[in-house]
Order: sequence, then structure tokens, then C-alpha cells
Amino acid sequence: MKLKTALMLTSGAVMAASMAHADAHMANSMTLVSWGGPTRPAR
Amino acid sequence: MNAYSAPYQAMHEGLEVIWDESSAEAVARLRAMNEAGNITWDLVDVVAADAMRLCDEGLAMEIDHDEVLAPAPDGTPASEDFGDLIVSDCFIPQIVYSTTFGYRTDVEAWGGNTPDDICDVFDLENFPGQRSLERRPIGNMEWALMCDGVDQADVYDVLETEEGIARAFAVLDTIADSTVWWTAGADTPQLLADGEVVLGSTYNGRLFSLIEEQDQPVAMMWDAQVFDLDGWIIPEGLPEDRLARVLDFVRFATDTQRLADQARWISYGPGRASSAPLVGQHAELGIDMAPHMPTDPANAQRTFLFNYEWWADYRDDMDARFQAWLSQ
Repeated sequence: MKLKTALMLTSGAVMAASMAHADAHMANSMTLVSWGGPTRPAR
Repeated sequence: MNAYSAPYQAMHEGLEVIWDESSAEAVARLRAMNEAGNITWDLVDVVAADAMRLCDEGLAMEIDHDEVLAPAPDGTPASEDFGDLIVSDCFIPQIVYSTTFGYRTDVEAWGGNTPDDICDVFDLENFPGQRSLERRPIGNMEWALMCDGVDQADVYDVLETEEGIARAFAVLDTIADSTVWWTAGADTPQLLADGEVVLGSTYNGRLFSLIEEQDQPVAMMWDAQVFDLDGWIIPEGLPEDRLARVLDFVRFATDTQRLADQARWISYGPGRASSAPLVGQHAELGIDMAPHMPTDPANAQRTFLFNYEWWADYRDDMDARFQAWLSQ
């Protein structure tokens, strides 16, 4: 059980590190453009 | 936003997401940004027709859909999962919405019958009363020809001829005196609620709101609903770090689960076939959303997807003819 927990923690840490590494070369902000409401416009 | 950016931000601590509500001006704004050499947008929600224009003008990035987008959970490539909805090399489909009809359920003159065929719109004998149609040719011309006996597959070929245009207008002539012509999506729901019309076309999301949120005596008629598409484009010319971020986000935001999740807030169908079985209940109303989806198999027995290329070629001419016909 302890081994499993340790493995899970290690796995989680690896995932977090991997995500942080992946994020490292990505911009920290992004601008998304939307319609500003739930309804779509006229064509 | 609830389905896409909030969960993505939760996975990426410190990421700032700025929403700019300018989609209606997307084409003009991106042209200006391109001229100025300063692209400030990272991802833009547009209708399919705008995506095609932006792609043709080199203002949107062409993508390999199978490389950029996630496969379905069963491994089906994105290009197959989205299928025909990928109408441009730059377009990343999100949702399908439709222009369809709502009708009042309390019309005594109909003798207990309800319209279930697009041609009932043109049948004043069995379904008398005022109706509302959009003050544009797109959609109306296709419906009119179908109700003049033209096979759905042949509609655009017929509409390309003078005889075909005349046939469509002749069908519209039969109801012109009983028709209110709308210009805004809110018009038909209001006219139906006020009892000013007995049936009318509008966007399906508006009718969902009228029926389920406002509890009006109105029902949907889905026959021959006209699909339209909404989705993302990535502006051409983003720097490497911003492009990496937006590619990561768009892969997440358009996966099977996320597109199913957006249907919890509005009755627009997910762009992926694999999302349909995952559509659940409305986040606030607690009602099943699948029966309200234009893409639900029961509602999508006969549908139209606009022939965007045809309309791009003939739009100006048809608009002029339609306005001339209206003013007769």
C-alpha cells in the first residue's frame, strides 16, 4: 500500500513536472475572441 | 467559457485568459491587425463563412486537423470525427446550430394538427395564420424549392438557373401576404410569444430559451432545419510561444468531452460525432439536453448544411433579387 502510494505520488509529481516543462515554452496569457453571449449572430 | 477556459486554467496555474467580445468584427479587425503587423488575438470564435474568408485572405492559419486536434476516445481521427463540418483548412468546428421553426401549440384553426413538414410553412389552407421568415434569401430559397418538388440534393443546381429562382419566388409569393420578415434573432421568439405569428423561423437556441426558460406554448419543428457552424480560427503570424499555448488550449477545448460539456449551457450541438452520446443535462434547468440538440438523431432526420461556396459566389446577386422581390 505504501509502495503504491509512493508510486502514485511519484507519478503525480512527474506529471506536474512534465506539465510545467511543457508550459515553459508557452505564453502565460492568451486572448480569446468570442461573441460575448450564448446566442450566435445573424449570418 | 464554462466548458473550455475555466477547466483549462485550473490545469495551468498562473495562466491569464483575456476574453475579447469582438467576434462580430473579426474579419475587419484581423485585416487591420495584419496590416499593422501586430496580431493581438490568439484564438477567434467565428462562423464558418468568416473562417473561409479569413482563410482565403491568408489571415487565418491552415492546420492539419489530425495533428492539431485530439482523436475521439476510440481513436477515430479528428478529421473523421468532425467530418463534413471541417469546411475550411483553417476552421476548427465547435458547435452546430440551426435555423429552424417554432410554432404555437394553441392554434385552434389548425384543428389539432401540428406542422411537422417544412412544406407546412407554405400551406395556408391547413395551417392558416401569420408566419415569420428571415428577411434574406438564404434558407428561404432552399425551403421554397424543396416544397416545389426539387430534390434536396439538386437545390443549388436549380437555384443557379433563372427558372429555379422564379420557382422559388413563386412559392414564397403564396405566403408573402401572411409573412412578417425578421432581421434579428430575437424577433420570431417575441412574435410567437405575443401571438403575432403562429409559426416562424429563428435560431434553435432562441426557441429553446422561449420554450424551456420562458415556458411559452411553443414547440419546435425540426424538419429541413438549416445547419450553420461556429468554431475557432488561429490568426496567421503568431509568435512561437503564443502559438504553442493556443495549440495546447485548442486541443483541449475541442476534445470530445469539452464539446459535450458546452451543451450543458446552450442547445447547440457539439461539432464532433463522438460528443453526442455524452451530452447530459442543462447545468441550471436540469433537463436532458439531447432532445434539444439540432444534431440529435431524432431532430436531424432531414437537415441542410449551407453550401457556403455557392452562397459566397451568388450572395450579392441573390440578396439584390430578394430585396427587389420584397418591394414588389
